[in-house]
Amino acid sequence: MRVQGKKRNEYFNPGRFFLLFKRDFFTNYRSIIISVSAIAGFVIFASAISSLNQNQGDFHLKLYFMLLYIGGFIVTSRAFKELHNTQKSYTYVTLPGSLLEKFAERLISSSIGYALGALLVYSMSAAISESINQLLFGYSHALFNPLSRTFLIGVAAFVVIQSVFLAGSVFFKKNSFIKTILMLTILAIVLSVIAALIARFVFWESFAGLQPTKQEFNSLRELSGWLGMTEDGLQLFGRSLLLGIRIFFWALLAPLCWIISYLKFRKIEV
Amino acid sequence: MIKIKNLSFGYGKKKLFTNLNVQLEPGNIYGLLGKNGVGKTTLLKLISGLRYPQDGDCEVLNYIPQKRLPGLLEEIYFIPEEFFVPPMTIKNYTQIYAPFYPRFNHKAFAEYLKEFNLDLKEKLTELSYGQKKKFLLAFGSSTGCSLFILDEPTNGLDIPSKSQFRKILASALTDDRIILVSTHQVRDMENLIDPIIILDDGQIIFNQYIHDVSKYLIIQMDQDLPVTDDVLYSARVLGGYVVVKENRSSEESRIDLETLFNAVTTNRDRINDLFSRGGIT
Repeated sequence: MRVQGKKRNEYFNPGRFFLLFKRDFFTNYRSIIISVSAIAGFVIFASAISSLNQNQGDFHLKLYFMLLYIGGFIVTSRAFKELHNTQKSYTYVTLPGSLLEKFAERLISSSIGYALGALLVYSMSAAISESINQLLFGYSHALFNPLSRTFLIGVAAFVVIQSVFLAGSVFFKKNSFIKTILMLTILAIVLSVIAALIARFVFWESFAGLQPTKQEFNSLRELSGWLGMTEDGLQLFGRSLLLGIRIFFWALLAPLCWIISYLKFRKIEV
Repeated sequence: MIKIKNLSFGYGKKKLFTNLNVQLEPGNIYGLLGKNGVGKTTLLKLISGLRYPQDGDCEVLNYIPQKRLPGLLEEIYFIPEEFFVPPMTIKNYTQIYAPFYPRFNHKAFAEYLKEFNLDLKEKLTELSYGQKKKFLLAFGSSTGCSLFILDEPTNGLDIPSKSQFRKILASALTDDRIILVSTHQVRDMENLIDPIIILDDGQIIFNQYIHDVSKYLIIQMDQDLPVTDDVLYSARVLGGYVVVKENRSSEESRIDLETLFNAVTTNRDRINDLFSRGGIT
């Protein structure tokens, strides 16, 4: 007779969630080792070259962000690769874990997990590289503070933009990194065209055909008068528009991408 | 138990199943037979939640497979025809994957590995296709799952391995487990799969225990082409004709699965009518 264990939560169980992380880590540890070695090598090399120019106070912060953004987006684009591979997808889909656990595991691994892992590897590589620089050139770059406002905002922005690449990883079966970039480029072009058309219609008197005339607005008062608004009204409109964009970016974009990605993830058949 | 009711599914405009109905009970090794492209693998995928029905109901062990809940996934182990194994040793694989299955039996797993001459230190990617399949079979049998699904399990296995496979699979059957085997290699499955399910034209056209088959049908070799009205199917073979007849003598014959399959797919209405009538009246 079968022994029934204690009934576990069908949607989220910390034990199973941990097992998914463990599986992901041990399945990909070779790629992780190769990536860590490449990052370390690159940091040491770039830091040594950069030591020839000794006036780069934020060298490490810039280099970290470059690795975080480029590497992170590539890693994120591969997050659901297993789901799109015919042979691997059998194991992944039938692996005992809920859809929420599987999705959250990939989301955390590729966002905060990657950022923290990259920080750890980068900090160690930077410490080694700066010791070498000090010995060879008598100069070392300043290390960055991972608790600084600049750093934290940079990581937060990474998590937001990363969500778009996560959606790309779920939606695109192959070459999701390139396709996501292409999609973002098309979106940027479309938005630019829409913005240009709106500007063209709003400021139609300032154009002759597609060429702008010499009419210029030297002050906010001139512009607001021309638009038939008060100066305060125009400022309020501008501030509201910027606030709306900020709210969309910082508060809505990532959750929106996660929800869309999760809904698609649930529906994928293999 | 698996209950499929009025299930419909297709790829694009091509309909594969229309109002398909079947019920599978624990304690059996079901053999799912069918021609190429008839949808055997798709049916296995629908049962295991890899594909979603377009219409109708599919209930597996009181779960809806498409919800992909861990409670069901812990009870299913699926070995596909084409599979992937990660680049790690058997020991590491077991350490990583076995904890997902609460009833994983490590002792039984060690015995299966011994039976298949596999070592814990061996790297999965360095094993041959047949060895990998044996490893997955050993792992799946040890998970304690209630539904063990195998798609073309004997493909790529050598002759001794096929015998070992039959032995392991027979020993893996318990009263509360359903083993569902989809295969073309019916000869490899003889004396193992029972009942026999035949899928054709988007329907289950045959679902019978071997015991009932031999009760209602008789398969024999005749020198000449028989012309009696009890003949359901005949085919010329070396040395005469293999003939499937209504069993009017109550004698039981050995059931050749290949001949049975051909008989059912060519004369399904008459054979089903015979079974629904409960034999000769």
